[in-house]
Amino acid sequence: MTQPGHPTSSDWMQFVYNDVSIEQKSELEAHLDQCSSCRSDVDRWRAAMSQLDQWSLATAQADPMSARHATMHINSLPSSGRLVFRPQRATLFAASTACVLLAFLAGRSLTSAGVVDTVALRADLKRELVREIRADLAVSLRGEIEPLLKAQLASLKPDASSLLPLIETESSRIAAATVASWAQQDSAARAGMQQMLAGVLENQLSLRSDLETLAMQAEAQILRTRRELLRLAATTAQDDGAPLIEAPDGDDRSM
Amino acid sequence: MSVAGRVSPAAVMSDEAVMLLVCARDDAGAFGELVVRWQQRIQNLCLRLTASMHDAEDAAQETFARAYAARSQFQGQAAFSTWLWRIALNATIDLQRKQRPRETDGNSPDDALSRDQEPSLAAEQTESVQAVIQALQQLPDDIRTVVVLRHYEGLKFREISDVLGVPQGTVCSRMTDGLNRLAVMLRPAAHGLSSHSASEPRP
Repeated sequence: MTQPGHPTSSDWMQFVYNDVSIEQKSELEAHLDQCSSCRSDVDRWRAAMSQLDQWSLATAQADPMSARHATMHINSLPSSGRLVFRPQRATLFAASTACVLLAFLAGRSLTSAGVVDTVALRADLKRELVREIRADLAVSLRGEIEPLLKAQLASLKPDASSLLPLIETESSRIAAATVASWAQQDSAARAGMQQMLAGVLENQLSLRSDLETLAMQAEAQILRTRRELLRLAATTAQDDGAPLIEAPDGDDRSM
Repeated sequence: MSVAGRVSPAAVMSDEAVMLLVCARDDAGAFGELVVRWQQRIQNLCLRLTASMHDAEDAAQETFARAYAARSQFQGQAAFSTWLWRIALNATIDLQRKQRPRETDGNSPDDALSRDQEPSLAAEQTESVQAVIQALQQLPDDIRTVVVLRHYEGLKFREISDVLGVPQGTVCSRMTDGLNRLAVMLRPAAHGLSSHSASEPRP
């Protein structure tokens, strides 16, 4: 029962549990210094509090396995008959990251009364979650695709090495075929040229023969003509008694 | 829960943020993080209220089951801790009500310690601790609840007021009454510690 002029029991309860401001604490301590009745009450309460302190229990957080075990029983309890509980781990990497963000966003979203502004929190969460998910997915894709590409490239290497003999064989075949083709073409050209040269030579030989023949004929005609002239000259001289044309020296061929 | 070497979300995420995530995604895995954080404290609360390890475990499991089932009701207007404490208290009360018909005297000191034949709870405790356990069990339920929440769980009086839905003055009044009763019940031991009574205020 609070006495007039004394702090209330609420004041003392907050005092003994250190739930007062510095100013209030000073005032209450000053009152205790002057009031044996309140001092006795405070001492009695603190003694009881000290007794209560003897019953200490573990305060450490539960390990994840025990927590998972505890939550596995949720759907087995009568009050949760409608509950479908599927213990699952946060498989999404980004969800965990988002959870980290939520801690800071929740702090930013606290109103002056200490109540969480859920609207602002959810808006911030959406923006940050999208950004973080994109970044984390990009990292994950690079981390997954790059090894995959490397593995595929490594698997392709044997195929490339096995193709080399085929490539070499084919190249050789093509080269040989090309050389053969060139050789064939060259032979044909050579034969044609040879044939042409042979024809030319034949023509030349024929022409030479003809020219020789003509030359012989011409020479023979010239001789005949000279002889005729000589005969005519001789005939005339016999008629006149003097030669008109002297026979060339050494030319004593008779008609 | 850590992923690929990243910082564990549980280390920095607030309870309200986790619960909102649970509500948004029906994410039981995220709810598991809350269980990891709160299971020991909830179980301690239930143990101090029931003085029975078996009942405390049942009440704790019931608490989280109810919390998950009622996750859609958590809108963030109140702190998650306030919401969870309230569920835990109701679960404990309901459990005790179910068990009360089987008890000859729910507040008997002998019953408090012999319930379910829990040798571990009694055997580990000294006489002074046993006296404390008995004294708490002899308090009325509403007073015992305030004493446990304030003294053992460290809730401020205004937080207890939010949890119980009663004015802060009522909470302080119940606490005063509880300490007065405990001082009387624990008087022999209290006298033995009188030299330490002028201790510093509790944090």
